[in-house]
Amino acid sequence: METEVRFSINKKNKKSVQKWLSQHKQIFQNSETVYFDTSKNALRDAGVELRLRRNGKGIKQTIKSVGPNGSLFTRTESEIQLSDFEPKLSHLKKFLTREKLCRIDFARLRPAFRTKVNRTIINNPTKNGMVQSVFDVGEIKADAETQEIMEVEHELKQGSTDTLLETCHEFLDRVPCSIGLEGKAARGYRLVTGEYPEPVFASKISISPDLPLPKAMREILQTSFQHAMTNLPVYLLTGHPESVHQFRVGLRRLRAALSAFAPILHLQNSGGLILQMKSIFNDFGSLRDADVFLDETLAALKNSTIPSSYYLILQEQVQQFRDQRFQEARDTLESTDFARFIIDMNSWIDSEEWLAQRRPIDQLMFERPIGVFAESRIQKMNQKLLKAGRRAEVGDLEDWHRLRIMTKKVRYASEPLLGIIGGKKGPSFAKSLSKLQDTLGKLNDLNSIETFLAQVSLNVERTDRQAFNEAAAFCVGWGAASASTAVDNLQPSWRKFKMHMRKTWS
Amino acid sequence: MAGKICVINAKGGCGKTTISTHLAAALASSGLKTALADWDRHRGATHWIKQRPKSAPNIELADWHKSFGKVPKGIQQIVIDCPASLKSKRVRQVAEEADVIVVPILPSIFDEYATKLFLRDLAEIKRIRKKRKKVLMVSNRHRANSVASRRLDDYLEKLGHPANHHISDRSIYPQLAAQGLTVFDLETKPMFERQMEWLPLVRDIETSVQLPDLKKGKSKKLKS
Repeated sequence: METEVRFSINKKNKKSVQKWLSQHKQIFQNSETVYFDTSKNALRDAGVELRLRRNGKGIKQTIKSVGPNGSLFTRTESEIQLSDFEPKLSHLKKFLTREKLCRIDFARLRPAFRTKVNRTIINNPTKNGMVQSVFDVGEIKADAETQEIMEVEHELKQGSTDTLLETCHEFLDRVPCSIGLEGKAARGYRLVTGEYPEPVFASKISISPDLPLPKAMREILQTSFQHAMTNLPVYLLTGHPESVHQFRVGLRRLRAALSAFAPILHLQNSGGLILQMKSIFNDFGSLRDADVFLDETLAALKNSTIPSSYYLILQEQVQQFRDQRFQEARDTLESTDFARFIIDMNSWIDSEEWLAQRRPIDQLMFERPIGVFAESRIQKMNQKLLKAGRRAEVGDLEDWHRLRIMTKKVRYASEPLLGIIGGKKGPSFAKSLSKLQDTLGKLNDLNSIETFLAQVSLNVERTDRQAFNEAAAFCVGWGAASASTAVDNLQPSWRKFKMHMRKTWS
Repeated sequence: MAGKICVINAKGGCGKTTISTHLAAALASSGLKTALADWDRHRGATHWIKQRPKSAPNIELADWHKSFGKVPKGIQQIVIDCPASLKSKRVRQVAEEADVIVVPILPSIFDEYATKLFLRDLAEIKRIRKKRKKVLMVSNRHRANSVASRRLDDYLEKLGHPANHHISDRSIYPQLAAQGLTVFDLETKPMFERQMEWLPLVRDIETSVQLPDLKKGKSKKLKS
């Protein structure tokens, strides 16, 4: 297992890195690494990276799993020494089943891309272990394409992950940089294929009902956190609106899991991480609102009686607002503070410090399997949902909005638990929750038009403001009329869901 | 199906209700849906639950005087506060069907004698005789340095039923009971110390009671 944190370095901060490294004895190396794969990248698709590295006198073959394993910065890794520069394929048996191996056409194995770097290595001993820090400056080459590399990797060599965290913080205090969630291999494959990463959707969390509560909770939190984080490189590289949405969904799932198990959690010792997460989540909210407005609201408005001048000014100004927010979000994600947040959050999730352990009786709870709690947690959340629904049935738009938030919470928090319960009722309930959330979401999009356009208006140039405000007023009026119709349609949807819920959980 | 914990001894006043309420509160505070079946004729458990504040972890009451054998829906563990007798067929049946039997005993010559007879009767149940069902002897109101407590330990050892757990004699128990509370409901240092004392017993019970399969968690009535 390899635990490693990577930071991307901007050229202007190269000297700060060198200064930081100079505190320790430095080893300088010229390193060349060749990544092997078939012409169809079968190894990558099977979830492994195979590379041969020549540095100093030896040749080392390394196989790594693609993507994190258990924790955001942990991957499965195996290394062997070779006598010549030819991949030893039997080594792959450690990672791939015989079935998977049989499917790979090894006759077509060839060097896919290579990296050439000047490395500076230091071994950084701390009180409780040792971290190796490597500064790589060089390039990735694939056919005629090249991409520059300037990054620092901190790898835990001895001791607990606290040791790595300590080194990372010490580094971040001295060197402004951003978190590097994409490895050299991912970048190399992109050069080879020219394919940009696609938004990553939440994968199904499958947790055994026998898993002890803290371990199961950790898995739920880690999976949600990783879901958010894997969308970061996608967002930074492509700006795909769905990746922003999925990033937020990942954070929302994490928050929902924390809220579902709130009675047994102790969140006060998160050191402000929860607040920070909330603030990041909200920062991305206006970007998401802009995407929804451009993709959905404007499309619906086009079919209304909107004058084309109104339509065009709304489109233009919201697009400008979106571009600004996109740049702001990008700056946030590439900031040192965000890098600090990621490593702290990951470490906090892994530490299990979020468990309430103030009473001796809590020990009992943490020895119990998650299966014992899953259904009762869902029932509890459902009761809250029913309560919010009862209010909405006789209430106003604000009550429907509250019901929407509760539905979202219940949906995201219950998804991993429904898998634990198993059987048919889980998937069917998840589907009906998702349907309800979609219906309520549409209402929210209409309901939030006024607030959103008021926010956009602040950024509109004075000369355009009059025209924009007129267009916005038309749009708000249209939204209010559509929302009123939507509420009438919501009543039957809610009643249908309520009946389904009672049938499923009675 | 809910796990059944039967708290029983033919001798009255040995602390069955105190032990029952504490076990129920321990299970409920640690996140399990718990019921307390009141089958004792004094109805101490019913009275205790009525006093219990709403803010305390919920324990459902099952009144077995009114509806014998009823296990409320969705319950994961049920603690049964049994009457002071093993003579009736029903009591024997409950003991037979329980996952674990908890026998409180006080350090007194009268309790020792009554418990000896009770254990003899209990051994008539085949699964107990064959040691396929756990019987946990709890030395209640224990005082580590008292002659009576030491004698009780020796006595139980000789009987072949050594005391599995000791619950010390503290004035806080009746005070808490009057408010519908237990040591598991308060978060103070002295209460944490008391909780530590109960933990081995609760753990021992948990290893004997298989946690119910939630998929099959239906209400079940004992044969009456």
